[in-house]
Amino acid sequence: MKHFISKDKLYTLGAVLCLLILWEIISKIVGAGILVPRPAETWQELVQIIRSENFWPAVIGTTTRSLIGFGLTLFTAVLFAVMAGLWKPLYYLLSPLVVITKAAPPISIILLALIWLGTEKAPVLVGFLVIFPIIYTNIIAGVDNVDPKLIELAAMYRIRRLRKLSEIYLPSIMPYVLAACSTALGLNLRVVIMAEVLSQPPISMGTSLQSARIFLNTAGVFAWTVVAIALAALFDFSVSSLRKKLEVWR
Amino acid sequence: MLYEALQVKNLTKEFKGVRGQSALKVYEKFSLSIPENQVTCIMGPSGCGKTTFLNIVSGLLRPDAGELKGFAGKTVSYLFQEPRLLPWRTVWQNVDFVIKDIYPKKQRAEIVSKYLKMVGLSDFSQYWPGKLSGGMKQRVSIARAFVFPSDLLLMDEPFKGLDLQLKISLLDSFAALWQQDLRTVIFVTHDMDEALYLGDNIYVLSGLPAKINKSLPVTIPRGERRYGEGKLKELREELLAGLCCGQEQPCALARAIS
Repeated sequence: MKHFISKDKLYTLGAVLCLLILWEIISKIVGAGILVPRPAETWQELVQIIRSENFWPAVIGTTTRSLIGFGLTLFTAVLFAVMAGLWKPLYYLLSPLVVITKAAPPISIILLALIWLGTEKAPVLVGFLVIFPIIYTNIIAGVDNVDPKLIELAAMYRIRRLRKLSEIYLPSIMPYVLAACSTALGLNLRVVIMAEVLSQPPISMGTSLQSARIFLNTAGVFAWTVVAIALAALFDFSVSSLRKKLEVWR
Repeated sequence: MLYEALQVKNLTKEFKGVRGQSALKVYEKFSLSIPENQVTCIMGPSGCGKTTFLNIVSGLLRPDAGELKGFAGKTVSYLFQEPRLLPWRTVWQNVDFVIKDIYPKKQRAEIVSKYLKMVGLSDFSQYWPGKLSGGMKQRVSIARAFVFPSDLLLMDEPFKGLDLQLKISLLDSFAALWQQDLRTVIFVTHDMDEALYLGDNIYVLSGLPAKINKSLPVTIPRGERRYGEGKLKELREELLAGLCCGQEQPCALARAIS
């Protein structure tokens, strides 16, 4: 098993190397750093960005906005989905809302959020509106898939309602919640940065991306993108390790 | 009579037809007495309402008419065809699950370890159910059924689909537990040998609405019973005749089972 894992990592490393070589070749062919900066240029820019005094405040600001939005969404989505899963009228009441937010282009949501809220809060609302339907529908599916035989068992043995919720419903929907989280967390970060580009909070990753673009610092745009990818990877890693911890019984 | 009996009197239950199908009258003025602290077996072809009977007795289903005498206020535990364990709880936690609201922690620990020991799973108490074999899982569910302080134990073919050796060892585990802790048991099964091995009384149902086709007391002491052999074999012939009399369809079924 261990042997396979190391082989797996080796392949991944090889693929990344290939990508870097391809990038280098393309930038050579294009021959203009303003269009496609070379990997080395991007690296230098990245180092510079990390050393700049606004780097950590920007990363922390964006992460905070992203996580607040995510936490808020997760909480409300679980709450509403469990209630809607158990009580059909609420499900029907919410379904047009969910369909609308799911179908609306993210950019419309961003523009509306900008109209309604200030530059700091708008990205949070955007994240909420984009990922709420994803988490909500996933959990609804989870509630629908709770094993009716276990519910019958609980009824048989007169298990109290609260314990039925915490020991049967919650563990049953947990895999769905976690699967939704791993999709939604990364997506949320991306739309929050997108919203920041437009809403321009004083210090944020989106703002930094936008100013790099304005100054025709394409290497800067690339470098900030690398930072965003690293952050998304960190999020993904946290969710998957949480998943491993919570699903030891599998 | 030595024991008091729970009485089912004039039970009527009909399932409404869905989309133009005719309604299904499973029971009509059906009566049966179930002696307390004995094992009453109910046999019969598929679809003759055996599970329905358990569901009515346990209160999961409401009868259309009829009287359940002596059942009020009785607590029930249930052995299902499948073990129905919570996959995210260990063996220990699964057994503990049904008494968490009933006893304080210390007492629970004693009860759970006692019963796990009796079904031979002490060493597996910290295992996840997913790591156990089918027979071991069913043992956990037997322990769980006995841990729960029930007056009535309902069993819906819990030994179905297990190989013979495993089945006999589970039947013995069950018998040992039951001997220590007599409860009123209603045991639904398709298997004549199981019924003869565990039962005090065997009822054979057939037809729609269901009627009692045959009732057979098993008076041989449990200690002297040998699975599918000896005196039980003679009773088996009698039981088979009961399963076969009357309609032709159940007859073929009974033969197939035997």
